[in-house]
Amino acid sequence: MQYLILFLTFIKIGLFTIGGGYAMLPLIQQEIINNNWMTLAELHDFVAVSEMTPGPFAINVSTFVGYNMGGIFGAVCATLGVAMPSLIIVSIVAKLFSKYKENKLVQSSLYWLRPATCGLVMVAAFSIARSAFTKLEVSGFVNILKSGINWGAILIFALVFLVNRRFKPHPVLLLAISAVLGIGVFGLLPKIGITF
Amino acid sequence: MEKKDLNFLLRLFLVFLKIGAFTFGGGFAMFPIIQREIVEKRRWITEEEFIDYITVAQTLPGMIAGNVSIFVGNKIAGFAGSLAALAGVVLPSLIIIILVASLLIQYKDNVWVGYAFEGATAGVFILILMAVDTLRKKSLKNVAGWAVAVVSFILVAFFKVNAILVIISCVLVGVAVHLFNAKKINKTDK
Repeated sequence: MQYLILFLTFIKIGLFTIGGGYAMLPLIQQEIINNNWMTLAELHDFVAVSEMTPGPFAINVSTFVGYNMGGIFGAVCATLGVAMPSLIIVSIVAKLFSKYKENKLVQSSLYWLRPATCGLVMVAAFSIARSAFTKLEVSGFVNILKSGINWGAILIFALVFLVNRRFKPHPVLLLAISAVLGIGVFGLLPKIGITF
Repeated sequence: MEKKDLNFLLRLFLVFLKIGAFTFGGGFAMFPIIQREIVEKRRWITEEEFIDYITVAQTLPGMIAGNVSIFVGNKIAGFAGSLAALAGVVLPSLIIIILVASLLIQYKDNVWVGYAFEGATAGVFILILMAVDTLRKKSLKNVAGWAVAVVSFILVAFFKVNAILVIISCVLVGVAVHLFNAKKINKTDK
């Protein structure tokens, strides 16, 4: 039953993700909260790892959530679910390819849908900012006791932002730098008396 | 295409396995590699077809990289081909993530792992800001676009409106606008 719910939920997520990758995040967040599957902070940790591992980002996140909920079989169910609508819809569209491409109705729908996709990815960004920069939520991997603004995370953000503007590193490298800075700012600096 | 024999499907699967195993970030990071492997090295599809697939894949539900793989597989070997391509591109993710997730669960109470993730989340925020910026340039070109984006954001972020409802509404608005315009054109024709 649990596996069936995972499978069906990810079919729903796959079906309504238009624009790929990040457009999926608000939908996954919503399902995770509604089903009480895990905390958003845990999801955001998965997002970080999904960016650093090979393969399509959307598949990685889905597999992660599935594994967390139901082990290996759960991971398979989530991955199959999220890929299923693609397989069916793309196979159909491939048959009517030129008709679909030129269709005015499709173009008009997309014209209105694209800005909404941008708005929805902003929702995901907003929620990641909240879990990165405040101590209000208990993080998935560390208990943050003090509530309030996470100044350490803001410092890391500022540093990585500058590195990104200056050097445009590959996303994997950028996240590796952020993680190392996290260890420095939250783990090593307090040892010499600097806390955030 | 006629080359549907099992050997060919296996080759197709292996090529996409390689693509899945060696691209980070998916979607747009994957395209240059698909292009090199499928268009340039093997000439299974033409450059124009590939660009068409990328354009259309972005308008369909699901992951863009997955959709492009299904298109390419379908073009060179029909439905069996799309299955082989999709399985290839997904399998490395599935295996790697299962391994990583089982490790993570073991170390999730380790404070140092926690610190690393706390830092990485700030980095993820930068990546997603960059994604928002790309989408903004592509799709928010006028007041109507900005209005739709801001209203969608507020509804979902602050009023907990279901994101799926927002998506369906936008598609319906697009259909309504199209029908309205079509009617207007018909009238002026008469």
